[in-house]
Amino acid sequence: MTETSAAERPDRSLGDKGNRPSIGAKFTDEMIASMRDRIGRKKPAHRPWNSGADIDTIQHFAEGVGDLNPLWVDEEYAAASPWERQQAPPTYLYTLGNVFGGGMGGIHALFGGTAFHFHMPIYEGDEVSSTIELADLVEHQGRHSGRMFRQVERQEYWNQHGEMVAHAEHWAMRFERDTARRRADDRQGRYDARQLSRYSAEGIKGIDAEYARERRRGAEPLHWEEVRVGEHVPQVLKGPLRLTDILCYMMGGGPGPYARAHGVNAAFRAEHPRAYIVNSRGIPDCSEAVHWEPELAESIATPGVYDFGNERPSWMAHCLTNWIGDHGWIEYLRTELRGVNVVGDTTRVAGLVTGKRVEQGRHLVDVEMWCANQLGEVTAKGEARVRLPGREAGDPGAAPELSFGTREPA
Amino acid sequence: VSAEATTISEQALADLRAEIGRKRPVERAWNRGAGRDNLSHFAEGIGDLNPLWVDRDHGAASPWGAIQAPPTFVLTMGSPFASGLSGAQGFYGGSELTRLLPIYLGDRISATVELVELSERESRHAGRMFRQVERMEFTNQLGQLVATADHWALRYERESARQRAEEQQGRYQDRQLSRYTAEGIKGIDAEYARERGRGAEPLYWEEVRVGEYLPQIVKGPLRLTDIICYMMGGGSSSARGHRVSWEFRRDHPDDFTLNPQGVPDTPEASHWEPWLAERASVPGIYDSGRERLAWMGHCLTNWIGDHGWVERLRGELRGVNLVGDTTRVSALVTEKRVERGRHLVELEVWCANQLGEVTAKGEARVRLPGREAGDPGAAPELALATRKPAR
Repeated sequence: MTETSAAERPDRSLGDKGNRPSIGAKFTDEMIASMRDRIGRKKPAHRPWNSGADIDTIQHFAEGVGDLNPLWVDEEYAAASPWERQQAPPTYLYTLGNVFGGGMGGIHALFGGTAFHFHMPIYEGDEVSSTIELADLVEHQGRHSGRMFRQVERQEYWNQHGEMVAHAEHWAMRFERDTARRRADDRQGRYDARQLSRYSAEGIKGIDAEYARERRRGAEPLHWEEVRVGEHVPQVLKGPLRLTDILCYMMGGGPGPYARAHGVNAAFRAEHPRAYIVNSRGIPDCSEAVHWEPELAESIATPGVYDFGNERPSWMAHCLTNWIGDHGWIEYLRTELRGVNVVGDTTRVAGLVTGKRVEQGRHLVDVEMWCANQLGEVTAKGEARVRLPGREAGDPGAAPELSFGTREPA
Repeated sequence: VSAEATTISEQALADLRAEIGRKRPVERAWNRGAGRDNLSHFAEGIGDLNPLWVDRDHGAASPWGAIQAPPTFVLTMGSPFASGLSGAQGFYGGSELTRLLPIYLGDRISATVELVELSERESRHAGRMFRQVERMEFTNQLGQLVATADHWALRYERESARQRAEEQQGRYQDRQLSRYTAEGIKGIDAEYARERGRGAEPLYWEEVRVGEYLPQIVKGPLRLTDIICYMMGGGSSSARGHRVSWEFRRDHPDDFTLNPQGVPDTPEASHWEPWLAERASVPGIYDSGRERLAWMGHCLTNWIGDHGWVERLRGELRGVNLVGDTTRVSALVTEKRVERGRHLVELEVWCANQLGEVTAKGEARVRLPGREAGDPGAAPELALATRKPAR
């Protein structure tokens, strides 16, 4: 759960919950009408961290999510694979532009998840730009009787050849800050009993052993015929989460538009003064710092700093690509966030095969996915569809039709 | 460098000395090339959005013909202190960069590193102390040497490292993390607003006078957010996520320390984890040190503009830069001369914090166009267009 304000967060309700003044913007008919006006209008996505994929940006992302699959990071290995060239991991798309297209400034946004539709790989050397449009804005009635809107954005990703490599829907709940504050109070109840987890040397040893057991299928094809419904996909482990891991994800994914340094920060703050909060030493900082500043995390009733929720789809993709190997292809991945992943949490990413079918010659497998922490809490749920080679029908899978070699010269 | 320090054995010294002069390829460089994204990540990280680094149209119209990497970008191209000295703790001291050619957009760079010096220094402390110098060379895809960098560190035996920590404690025991009023922030914002990059208008050698101060730039007040932004551009020698962290820990078991939750973490986390900073007897987390060289580069390139060229930059660290510290980067012209037709200016550069403490000192040499002699400066000879097509 990435609880970052859409545009700004004017003050903090640190501690005192009695008699608080109302904060942030209120929904107005005008605001909602102007937001609805964005429906169906495509524009370039805001502030892409990456504008393409090269050996370094792919490597940084793969390191950040903890998935050094040679298909992403080894030039020679990838050249010998059925894809014929190094490609970016599926969820690298998150680095290619902000998932929200703006609007309803001053209204809180709670990121809910993403559904990715993958059409072709992003190969090393590609330039990729993305467009964003508001797809839907639906009113909901929240638990706290506050007005809420579910906002759905549609993002399209285009390469330098004019091909749409993927498209995605991202959703968020929007509510007024007063509502957000009530939710935080509510969460306080939920997290009061929750301590940050501690580990014994034995506990770490056990986790290390899980890491050591992690296997990538690699070059040996997983054929559709070998998969059976009801089968579990081998788990992948992430954590125990440290701030170090959160930073590593930022180093590769550059998530969020607000973390900027020195003069770049001062210029941004001059343009967006309300996007900042003043820290305990009197220095304005961005609201995203809930992911790395304990005092900010505590102020929103979370027991410690926590991950960027949009990393969990990458973990699901890691789990899937370990299993399907180099010949498989993720066609679809939908992830819905269910809770926070705080420092000290250990996440297991798991999958269960729920269906198999052949559609227009494509050998497909449906998989249910989830992330669960060491307390057994499910912090994300997902669904995926993967395409595999079919041995009997002689279907070689997606690679031959999408491989680098099939591209027309630029 | 190493978390667990003991004493330095003669064998360890001999083993390391045997490495002197042996060039080896750098492993796991954070950047292996200059793409437009990692150039922009680095420029954002150091807070220097000079259009010569990030704006392709500006670069194409400049005397260089393309955008190029900021002078200190090579600091992201591999960690120098890979050669071990078991039983010793290391403290990075500074770097000296010598620049021969720009790194242009799209270049791929291979880096080598070699130990060039390991000399015993007189120590105030009980244990032994050595100065270790590693030289890196950066070569582009055309086989051209673009830059060299000497990096130095002091290596201490455990006992002297402990005494050094005590001194550090003495030095910082009365030091509070700085606090700011809204007025204070407003004043710093005004300094940021005044900052100017010279850009396309040439600074001629004739306009410069010895004793002249360069316009200061400000950095900070430092937040963890800024430290992270630098890492997002500059990378890290030991921060790794999840399974990659486990692999790194498996290969370097001594380089980890347990955090308060019992989870192994890298000692480098003293830049983002207060409990580790406190263990190092420093009152708060602090910057990576090397970033201050990048700030010196920023100050210099703001002043020289697009026609100038930083030939040499040497920066030596003098103290920590803590969260809440505000750094002003300054420089003073110390000498002017013409050498084989090149119009050169020598400078002293330094970083000072809000308490007036100098946290880094350095020297630089820049080449400028000379108006009277009709010397156009470095750009025409080093411009992208002068390159031979690749083999």
